[in-house]
Amino acid sequence: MQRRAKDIVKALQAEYYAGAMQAKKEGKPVAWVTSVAPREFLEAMDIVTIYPENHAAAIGAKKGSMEQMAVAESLGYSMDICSYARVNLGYVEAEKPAPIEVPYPDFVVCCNNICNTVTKWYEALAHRLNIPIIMFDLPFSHDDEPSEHALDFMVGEFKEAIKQLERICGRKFDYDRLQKVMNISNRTSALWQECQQMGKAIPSPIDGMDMFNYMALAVCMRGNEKAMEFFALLRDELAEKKSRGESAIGGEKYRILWDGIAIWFNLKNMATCLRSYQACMVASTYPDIWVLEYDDLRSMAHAYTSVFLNRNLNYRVNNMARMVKEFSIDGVIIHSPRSCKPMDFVHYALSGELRKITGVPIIVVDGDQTDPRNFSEAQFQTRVQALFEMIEGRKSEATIT
Amino acid sequence: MVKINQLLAEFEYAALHPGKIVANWKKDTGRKAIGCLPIHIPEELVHAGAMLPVGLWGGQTMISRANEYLQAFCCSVMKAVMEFALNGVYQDLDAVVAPTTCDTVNCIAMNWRLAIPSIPLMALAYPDNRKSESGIQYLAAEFRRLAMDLGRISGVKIHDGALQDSIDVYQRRRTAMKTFLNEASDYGKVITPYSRHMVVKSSMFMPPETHLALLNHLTDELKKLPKSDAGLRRVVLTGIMPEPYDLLKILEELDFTVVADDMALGSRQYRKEAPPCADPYERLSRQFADFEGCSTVYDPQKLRGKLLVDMAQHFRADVVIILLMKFCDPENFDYPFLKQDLEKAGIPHLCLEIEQQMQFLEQLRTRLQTFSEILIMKRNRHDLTDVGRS
Repeated sequence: MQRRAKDIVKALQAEYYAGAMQAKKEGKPVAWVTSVAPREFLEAMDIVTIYPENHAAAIGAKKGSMEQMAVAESLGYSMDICSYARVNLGYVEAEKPAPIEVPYPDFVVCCNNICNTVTKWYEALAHRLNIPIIMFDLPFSHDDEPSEHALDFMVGEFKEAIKQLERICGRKFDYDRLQKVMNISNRTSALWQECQQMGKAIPSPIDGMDMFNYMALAVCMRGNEKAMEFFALLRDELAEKKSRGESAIGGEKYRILWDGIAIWFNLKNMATCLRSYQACMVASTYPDIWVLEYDDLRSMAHAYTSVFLNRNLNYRVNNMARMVKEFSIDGVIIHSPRSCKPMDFVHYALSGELRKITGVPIIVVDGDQTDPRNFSEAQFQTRVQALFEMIEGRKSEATIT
Repeated sequence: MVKINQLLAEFEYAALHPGKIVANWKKDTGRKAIGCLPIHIPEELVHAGAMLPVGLWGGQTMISRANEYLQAFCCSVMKAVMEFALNGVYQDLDAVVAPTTCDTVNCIAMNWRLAIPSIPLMALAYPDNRKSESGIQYLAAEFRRLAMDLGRISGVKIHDGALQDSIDVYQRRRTAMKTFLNEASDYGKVITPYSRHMVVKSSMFMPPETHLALLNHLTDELKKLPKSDAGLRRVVLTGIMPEPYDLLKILEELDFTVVADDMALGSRQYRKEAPPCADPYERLSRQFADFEGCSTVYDPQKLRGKLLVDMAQHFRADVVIILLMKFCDPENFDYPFLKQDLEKAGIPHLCLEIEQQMQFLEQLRTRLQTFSEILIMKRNRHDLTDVGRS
C-alpha cells in the first residue's frame, strides 16, 4: 500500500516540473519563491511557482550541485554562504543544463520568515535578472508572540503585494479564488499534520526519510487540490498501517527526532545507517514548518510569521521538548548545516537546553543541505553510533534504578 | 600639531578603553549604560532616556568560552562579543539592545538571553519593507516599544520633547563627523588611517556631546594646517569595520590614506540625516526609510555599489579596498555586485578577507604592497602620457 503514495509523490513532482516548463512556453507568468512564502496569493492569480530551495535540494539529491555552485563561486560568491543560494545563483548563470530544469522567473517573491539570507539572495536575483521583487517582510520575533503592530504591518504588506501582483499580471486580483486556495491550503496543512502525527504510534507507520520526500508537495503545492488529495491518501495509508501495528522500517527499536534541514545528497545513506540500528525517524521539526493553518489575512500573517525559524530559542526548545514527549523519542539528531547560519548558531544552546529538560541523548552532526564538501560520511556514522551508545547507556541506567 | 596630537590621543583612549569610559560615566553621573549590538541602533532613544549608548563591536581577545555557543565559522566580531559577554567584560552594562541585523546577530541575541541572564536583552526588529507607509508606521511602533523598555531600565520616561532634542544632538554630531571626515581626506599625513578610525570608533563609546565638542575642536585645528596628502595613495574603504588595528598601520606604512569610507563602523552611521517630523519616532523611522547603502538594509536596486563608485569618484580615490569580513553573509552577498560596479566604472579595487582577531597580517601586507606598486606604475605611466599630451 505504502508504495502507492510513494509512486504518486514522484509522479506529482515530475508533473510539477514538466508542467512549469510547459506553462512558461504558453506565456503564463512564473515566479521564483522562497520556501515558506504565502504562496496562496500567487496560486490565486494562477502564477506558476518555482521554489529555488526545493530545486537546489533536488539538484543536490541528483548529485548535481557542485557544478552550479562552482559557477556562483566563480562570480565571487563565497563558499561560506548558503549552498541553496549558491546552487540557484549558479543556475541563473550556468551555460550547461542542470539535472532538473525549471523555467526562468518573470518576478521573484521573497518571504524573510526563514532567514535574512533569502533577502540578500532574492535581492541578487531580482537585480541580476532585472525583474520585479515582491517582499513579504515578516520580522523576526525575539518575543514569544508577534506584536500587534507587527501583525498590522504584515497585513498591510499582504494588501500591497496584491496590488503589486495586479500590476505584474495586468489583471484584477481574484479574491474568490484566494478564498478557495486558502481553504485548500488549510486542508492540505491539516492533512500533512495528521500524517506527521501518525509518527506518535509505536511502532511508527511513517519514517522521516519519507517525510522529507512528501514534504516537497507541502512546499510547492499546498494550495493545489492534487496535493490535498495526495495527503488524504497518504493519511489513509498510514492509518491502515497503524491499525495493523506495522512499522515503517520493518522492525522499530529506537525512535529518533530530527532537527535541521535534510542532507539531501545523502538521504539514502542516512536512511540505511539509521535502519542498521533499527531506528526510525518518527518526527522532525523540519517538515512541520509547512503546517500553516489560519482563517483570514491576519491569522495567515500570524501563521506565516510563527514558523520556528522566525521565533526565539525558548519556543524552539519547548517545541522540541514537547515532541520528545509526544513522540516517545529515544534520541535526537540535530543537523547543523554548515552553510545555514541561522540554524547553526543556536544548535549548541538548543541541545543543551533540550537535554536539561528531557534528559534525552542528543547529538549535533555537521553537514550541509546541498554542499557535499561540508559533509563526512564517516564522521556522521561515528556520531550516530555514539548516539545509540548513549541511548543504550540511558536505558540500562534506568533499568538499574 | 601638539594640540591635534593631544586631541587624537583623547579619541584613541576612548576607542581603546570603552570599559573605563562606561565605568567613569556611571560613577560621575549615577546613570545607566546600554549596550548596542551592531549595526543600526537608534542611540537617540537611549540618550533620551538619560543613559549612555555603548557600541558592542567585539575587540581583540582569545576566543574560548564563546566556542561553547558558536561554531568555528561564525563571524569574528560576534564571537568576540559573545566571549566578552561570557567573561564579564560587559558587567557595567544595565541592558543591551539587539537589532535584527543579520542571522548571526539574531542568534547572538538568543544565546545572550540564555547565557547572560544578568544583562537583559531588548530586541528591535527592523523591517525590510522600510519605505512603504505600513513599514514606516511599523518601525515607529518598534521604536516606541523599545523606548518603553528603555524607560523602565532607566527609570526615566522618554518624552517626545526629550527624544526630539536627542535626535538633534545626534544630528549635530552626524554633521560634525561628516565635516571632519571630509576635511581629513586632505590631511592624510596628520590623520592616518589608524587615527581616523579611532575618531570614528570613539563615537561608539563617548557621550555624544563630549565627542561632538572634541570633534569640532579637532576639525578647527586641522583647518589651520596646510594640506598634507602629497604622495599618498587615496583609498576608499568599504566593509563592516577596518580591524584589526595592525591592518590600518600597514596601510599607513605603505603610504595609503583613507579619503572616505563606507564602513558599517564608519560612515554608514553618519550618512543619513533625520528629516523633520512632529512625531520623533516617525522621524527616526523615516530616516531609516531614506537610508541606503548598507549590506544589512534591504536594497533591491543594489544601490550600494553605485554609491561606492560615486564616493570613489568624488574623493578622487586611487583604489577602493573591500575589507570583506569573513563569514559575514550580508557582505559576502554584496561582494559580486560591488566588484561588478567598480569594474564597470574602471575603479581599481582590492578585496581583502579579514577577521577581527587575525594575528598574521603578512599576507595582507604583501597583497597591499603589490597593489601599491601597480598603482605607482599606473600613475607614472599616466603622468608620462599627460606630459606627452602637453
